[in-house]
Parts: sequence; C-alpha cells; structure tokens
Amino acid sequence: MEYVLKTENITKVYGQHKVVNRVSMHVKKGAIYGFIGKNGAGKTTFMRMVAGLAAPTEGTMELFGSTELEKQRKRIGTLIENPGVYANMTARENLEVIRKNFGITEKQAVDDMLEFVGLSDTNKKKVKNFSMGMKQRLGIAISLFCNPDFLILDEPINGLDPEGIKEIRELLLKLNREKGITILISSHILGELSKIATHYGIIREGVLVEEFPASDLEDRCRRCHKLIVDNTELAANILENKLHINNFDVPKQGVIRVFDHFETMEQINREFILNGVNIKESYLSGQDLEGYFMELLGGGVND
Amino acid sequence: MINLFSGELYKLQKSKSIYICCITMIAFVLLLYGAFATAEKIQQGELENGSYGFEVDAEANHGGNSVWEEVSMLEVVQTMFVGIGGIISAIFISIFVFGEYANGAVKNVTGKGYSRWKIFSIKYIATILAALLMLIIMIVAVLIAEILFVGTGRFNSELFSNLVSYASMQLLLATAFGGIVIVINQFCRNLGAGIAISVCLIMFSTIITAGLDIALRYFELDIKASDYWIVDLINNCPLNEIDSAYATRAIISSIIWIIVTFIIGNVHFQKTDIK
Repeated sequence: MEYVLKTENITKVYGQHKVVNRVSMHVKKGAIYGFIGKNGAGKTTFMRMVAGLAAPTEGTMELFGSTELEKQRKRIGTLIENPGVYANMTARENLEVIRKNFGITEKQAVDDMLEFVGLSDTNKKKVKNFSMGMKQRLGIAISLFCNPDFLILDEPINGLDPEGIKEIRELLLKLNREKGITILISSHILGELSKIATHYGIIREGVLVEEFPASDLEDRCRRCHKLIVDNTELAANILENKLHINNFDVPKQGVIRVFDHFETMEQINREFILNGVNIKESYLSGQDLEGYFMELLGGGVND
Repeated sequence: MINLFSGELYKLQKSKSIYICCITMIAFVLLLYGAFATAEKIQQGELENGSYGFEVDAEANHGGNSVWEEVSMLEVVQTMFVGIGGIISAIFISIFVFGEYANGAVKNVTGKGYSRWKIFSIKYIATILAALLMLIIMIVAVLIAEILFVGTGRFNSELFSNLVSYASMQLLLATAFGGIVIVINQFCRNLGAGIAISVCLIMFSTIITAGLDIALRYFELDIKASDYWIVDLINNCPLNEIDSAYATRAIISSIIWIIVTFIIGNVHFQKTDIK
C-alpha cells in the first residue's frame, strides 16, 4: 500500500499537556482523508507537525514513503488555521511573493491561479478588505501555487457561504480526481466532509480513536440490534445454528450486531438466556452520519 | 536563497512602512534645517524674535555669529543618527519583522523545502539592508538640505572625509543594533511590545550601562560596560578623526553583537512553533 503520510506514535506535549497523543495516521495516495475532532482535540497541532511548522515531542513520520521530511515537504501545500497572507497587499501581490519565493519563472502563473480560485476581479483591493471567504480562497491559491501532490487543509470552508462551500468542494474533488492530489482535510461541517472524504480519522483529546474508509461508514451507521454479551462465540453459534441468522457481525469482543431481524429481538434474547449467554445490554441501534460521529467524538462536534 | 531574497525585496518594495519611515526621516532633516534657517534669519534681523514660535537666546548666541557657524553639517548628521534615525529604523524593523507573523505569512515558506536557517538568515539580511538604506537616504537628505539651506560653501574634502568615516562607523553600529531589534521582535511577536522595547533601549539603556559602569568601578574592575554597548557607542561616536581605540572597540563590539544576535535569532527560529 502506498502512503502519502504515515505517522507512528506522533506526540506533542506543551508543558504538562499532551495535545497530540501517540497518533498513528495512515493517508493513502489519492485519498481525501477527513480529519474530524472537536475544537482543541489536536487536529491543527497534528497538521502543523506534518507541515513542519511544529516539531513533534515524540514519534516518527514518513512523507511519500520517505523520512527526508524537509525535502518531501516541497510537495505539500498547506492551509492551516488562518491563510498566511500580507494584509496590506493585494491578492496578486501575495501570490507574486510566493512566485518569487519559489522561483517560478512564469508570471502568468499568478493570473492563472487567481482565475482558478475566482479572485481575478479583485484588482487593487487589499487583502485586509477581503471577506473571510475571499481570504480562504487566497489561502487555497497559495497552498496550490507550487503544484503540490499532497494538500493539508485545516477548516478550509470556514466562513464560506453555501455557494462558496460548494465551489471549494467541487475544486477539491477536481484536484483529487484530475490531478491525483491527496488531501488531508479537517472540518466541523460533517455533512460537507462526507460528500468528499474517502477515508476518515477521528481524533479525541489528542488520541486518534478510529481510522476507517468511507465505504465502512454506511455499515457503521446501519440500523441494527446490538447485544452486549459475556460469551461472543457461544452467542454467534446460537445465532447461526439455532436461529439461522447469518446477517450479523462481531465488531469487537462482547459485542454482536444483528442486522435486519428486528422482529426476532425477543426470540434472540430468549435463546441466549436459555443457552447460558448472559446479556448485559440489548437495544436497537442506528444513527445518521452526524450522530455516529458525535458518538465517536464523545459529545457535540464543536462544543 | 536567491529566490527567498527576491521575495524579501518584493515585500520591501510593496511595504508602505519603508516609504513612510524614509519620508519621516527626510521630514525631520528638513525640519531641523528649517529651524536653524529660521533662527539664522532672526539672528540676522530678517525676522522678529519669536517668529514661527522660535525664540533665539541672545546670550547663547556667541556674539552674533551666524547659526551656520555654530552648527556644522556633521553635527546635523550626528543628531539624526543618535536620535530620530535610530528610533525610526527600529520602528521599521519591528513592523517588517512582525509582518511575517501578523497573519502567519511566514508559514508559506517554512517547511516548504527551505531550511529555517536559510529563511531566518535571508530575513535578517534583507531587514538590515533596508534599515541601512533608510539611514543612507537620511544622510543624502542632510546633504541636499545643506545645499538648499546653506549652499555648497561649507563643503570641503575634510568634511567629506569625516562624513564618510563617521557614517561608515554609524552604519556598522546600526547593523548591530538592527540585529538586536530583529531578535527582540522575533521573541515578542507583538508589534507594540517590539517597538516599545526597541525605543526604550535607545532612550534608556545608557542609564543602565552608566549604572553598570559605577558598579564595575566599585568592584575595582578595569572595564566599562558602556564601552561595549551599541547604543553608547552610537551616542559617543566622535565626529572628527575617530581614534583607533574607539574604532577598535566599536568594530569588535559590532561584529560580536551581529554574530550573537544572528545566532540567537536563528536558534530561536529553529525551535519555535510557527502559528
């Protein structure tokens, strides 16, 4: 498997507080990795470490399969926290600074990029007079300017109106599909994230609690009869051989999820008890996307 | 590194603060010459005493001599270097260094294939060069003001020779002081605090070194802190014929301060988290 980003137990400690705690993240080439967590969960700190803006206290990292991070970071475009812009310059001047810093000889590249992000008509307007959405677009333009292979975007749709959000979503999908750019994106707008993400990582209090592909999401949110039992093997055996139910899974030891057979809940409970399986909990489960993420995050998404 | 330098030059070119600081320096030069010219006219009886708010003290006036005989062009240059020139260049450096951190623009180059050592070094060099350019413009402004207000009558080879040696020494000292201001702002990352500390250094640090000198004398140590502190060296730079003892101290102190601030700034930038 080819990974663009692979971290191993990355940790960041500020004083006594572990902001990022042993995060091992795996971002596959070509993926759009949705990074989800509450405010203060450690998303931005983690992204800053990947981008080389902060040094990890512990842990290792590979970018594009290499540990030569400084060299590989040339291939990364970032928009972390606020866009890094000079407020007293115009959008064109800001991009001109980037063009000169990276020795890009084609002057046309600035105009092309302004056109690409829809800022070509800002003319002499200073960035300090831009709306939040325009600043975000400029930030995206800066992150894309050096033709990156990997984009790290921290809340890129913050402050955008619905039309702007749609445009950014379409832009990211275009970059991913047409140019094959891998994207690591954090957002609080879960519904929006779910429209583009191919993989998810959930961070809670600095710990990466889950990493899974988007294809698993439907399954994870699926309505089911959830049973917490003391003997998983025996319970599975009863379901298969006595009740002839095959549509179930065991996500972890002690937990059984039975799909579809909701009318047989009573029968399943009875058979388990008669055959010596103790049931600690038995309930109908199933959530929408937001509800599922909230459960993983341990409360409100952005409280 | 050339690319980074090119980027810095572009930022300087687009920076309003450098133009405002240069205009302010030129305005102060013209104001100073304007004040002397008004005093001269009052002294020569062409204007009444008190005109434009200027009062010329008859006793202080050495027997009705022309003001231009009392104030040389070099003394104007000295007044500018010791006072307003240092303060304005410190304000400019604070604005320019803080500009990188104000909206996080420094993160656009950090971790993008350039080592932090290179990024800081280029920023340091570009900032110092811009500050020196401002001080050179200030000297040119003095020369032009001299021609406008006094004419070329006072120009001679001795004056230019002294001007070159004085200005060279002051520019070297200004480089060292610029390094100190850069490091202060690098640590503060707060425009108000950076400017306040830098200006306080110019205005009050000599009081501290004077106190240190007394303390050192009390302990019978044959050394003076003020001999090696940049602001004291700027204030005490001789106008005519710089003696070798002062020149040696000033050059060595400047080089040491440049190296020390360059290393401290670099180490701090290497270790710091960029937001």
